[in-house]
Amino acid sequence: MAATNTKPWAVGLLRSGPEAPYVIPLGEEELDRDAQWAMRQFERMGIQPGKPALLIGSGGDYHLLWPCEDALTRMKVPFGQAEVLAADAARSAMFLRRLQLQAVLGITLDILDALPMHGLDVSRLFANMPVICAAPGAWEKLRSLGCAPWQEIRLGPLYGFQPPDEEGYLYNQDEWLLEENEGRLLVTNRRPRMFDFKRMNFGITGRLIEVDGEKRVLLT
Amino acid sequence: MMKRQAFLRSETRYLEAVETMPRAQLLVLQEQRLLKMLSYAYERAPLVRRLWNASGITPADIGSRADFIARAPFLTKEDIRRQRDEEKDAHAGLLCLDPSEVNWLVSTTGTTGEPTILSHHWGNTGLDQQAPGLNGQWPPSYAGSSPRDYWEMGVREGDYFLNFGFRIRGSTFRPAQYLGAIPIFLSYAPGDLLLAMKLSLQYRPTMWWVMTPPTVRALLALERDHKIDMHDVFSSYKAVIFAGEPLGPQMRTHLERWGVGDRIFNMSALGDIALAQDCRAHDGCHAWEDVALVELIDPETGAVIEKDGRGELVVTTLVNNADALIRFRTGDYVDMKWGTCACGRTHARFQPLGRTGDEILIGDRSVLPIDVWLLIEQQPECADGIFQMIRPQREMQYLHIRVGYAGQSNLADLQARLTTSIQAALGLPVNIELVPQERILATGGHLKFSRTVKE
Ligand SMILES: [Zn+2]
Repeated sequence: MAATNTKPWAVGLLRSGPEAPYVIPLGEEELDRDAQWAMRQFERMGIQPGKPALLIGSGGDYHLLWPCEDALTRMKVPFGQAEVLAADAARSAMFLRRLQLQAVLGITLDILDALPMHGLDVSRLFANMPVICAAPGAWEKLRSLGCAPWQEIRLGPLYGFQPPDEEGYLYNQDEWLLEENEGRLLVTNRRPRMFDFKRMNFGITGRLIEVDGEKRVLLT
Repeated sequence: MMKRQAFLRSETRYLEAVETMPRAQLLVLQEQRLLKMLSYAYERAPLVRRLWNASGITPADIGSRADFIARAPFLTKEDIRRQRDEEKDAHAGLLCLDPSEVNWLVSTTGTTGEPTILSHHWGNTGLDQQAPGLNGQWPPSYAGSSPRDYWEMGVREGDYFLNFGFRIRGSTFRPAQYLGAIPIFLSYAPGDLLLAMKLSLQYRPTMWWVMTPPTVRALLALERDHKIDMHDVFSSYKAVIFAGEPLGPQMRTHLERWGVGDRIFNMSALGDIALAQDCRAHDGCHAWEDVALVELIDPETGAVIEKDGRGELVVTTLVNNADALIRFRTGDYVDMKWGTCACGRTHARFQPLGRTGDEILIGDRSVLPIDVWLLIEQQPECADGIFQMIRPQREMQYLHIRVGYAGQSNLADLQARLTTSIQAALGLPVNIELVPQERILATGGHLKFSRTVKE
């Protein structure tokens, strides 16, 4: 399925879609474009250079995480790393307790639910957190606590980010073409990538909307 | 992004000349880096300054490596904890940069308490040491010496590198990419192991990073339940990096059965400064002495041990411009060898034996978990080596060991067999407490459980 004969920079795995998992070779240039897009989203979230952030994620998601790590590094944002599962919540708790974080990215419900066991007052902590970007599950819980987090979802091989109190997920429109098809969104890469996605169905039920001239995904 | 390196085409045995530098020359290099590091750290790191001032010395009093070993104060985990809590300083007074200049905030595993933050900076601006092998593209200290280990293990350009590790210490696949290898991204989770098997057969990787005792146990279950040909799965691997705990003899037999017994490379932390890994001589993990000044001390008296043998590992970073671990007592109990290794390298190497806090004294006899490990694993019901030493205090009248068993067993008989075998081997009284092994496993995290507990 590789579009070119050059060796990949890394090999990732996609765990959703009808024939999942998909083994996807990743090229250096495409990851570089992904990092540039991630930088623009982080800037839009209000993340600033020089202040620490926490990027929660698992090694198996490095096809999505590496561009985020690369983006934070280029933005000169010091960042801590922790895993997504409750078993590693002590690490997230430590970063949250010890550092004046400007952003918590990728927080999961597993981690959120485990934080009180590590002595953290979740409501108080997140009420004062300048930027939160939460996975589904954690997002609803944080909303119920009165926070206004961004939400991150996976649209197959790409991230979608929904701003707080707004509708629809932003995605990299230069890189990806999303098309509506009988209530599902099909994914195609617009630019060359080592793995070609041609109208691939990852089971995303939704439609496209436009907000201020910008396309977004609305899940249905 | 990373530049391909010229050495990738070469087939030299060693990646860097410093690996085999004559010992005398290596110590001169170390001294130069040390003296520069001391004044750098003393100026910038409040905890270092406080400890040195309390000892009544400054870097100006240290003119040589020998002066340092004779006079420099130790830095303990307790010093770090106190500074962190009392001064409310996440970096525990060790940070030599403005916090805004840090790139990576990585952390220790946290097996013995709350994880500790370790800071790294890309390149080593301000300190201006020649970091080993690297070009400012990633932290020179923590991962900086790993490419030379991977090269020794046989990783080459175009090889696949199975990245099955925990995401806590930076992007651990980067050193392999430095050699031109291609990482395959997996999560350190049992659910990804079947995928790891499949991808091993498809991509034929040369390195598995990392294997741990829970992973071996999970692989054994997969082998049994899915009838997987593990010999085939592991046939392409030049190196399986083993970490988390010493590889017990029983676990080794499984890896030998899978055909990789001679390609297991132990990995250990070099006191939170770098990683240390086996070479092909498998005579201990190489402590790269151009990266760290490495010492061995008696954990009780603090006296420096200059000959080969057991003691506490003490490390001083020579290259990390972010975190100044200077004469840091790691609490790791190791078996150290100083002479030239069979691989031709002139740097020290060590076998991790456990934690200094694991040591039990019965009379004048010192006992560590590793001393009873094999004896426990020899009993079929205890083949997984799941046990804990009960250690309410260091001095004990007898050994109290909680041993986990699997499946159904005649417990009275098992207890008698264990007691007889341990008493005969060590000549010490022992009390064996048997529990289902799941009970001990449940006390640990995803990496390991404590080998000694208070009760
Ligand atoms: Zn060697």
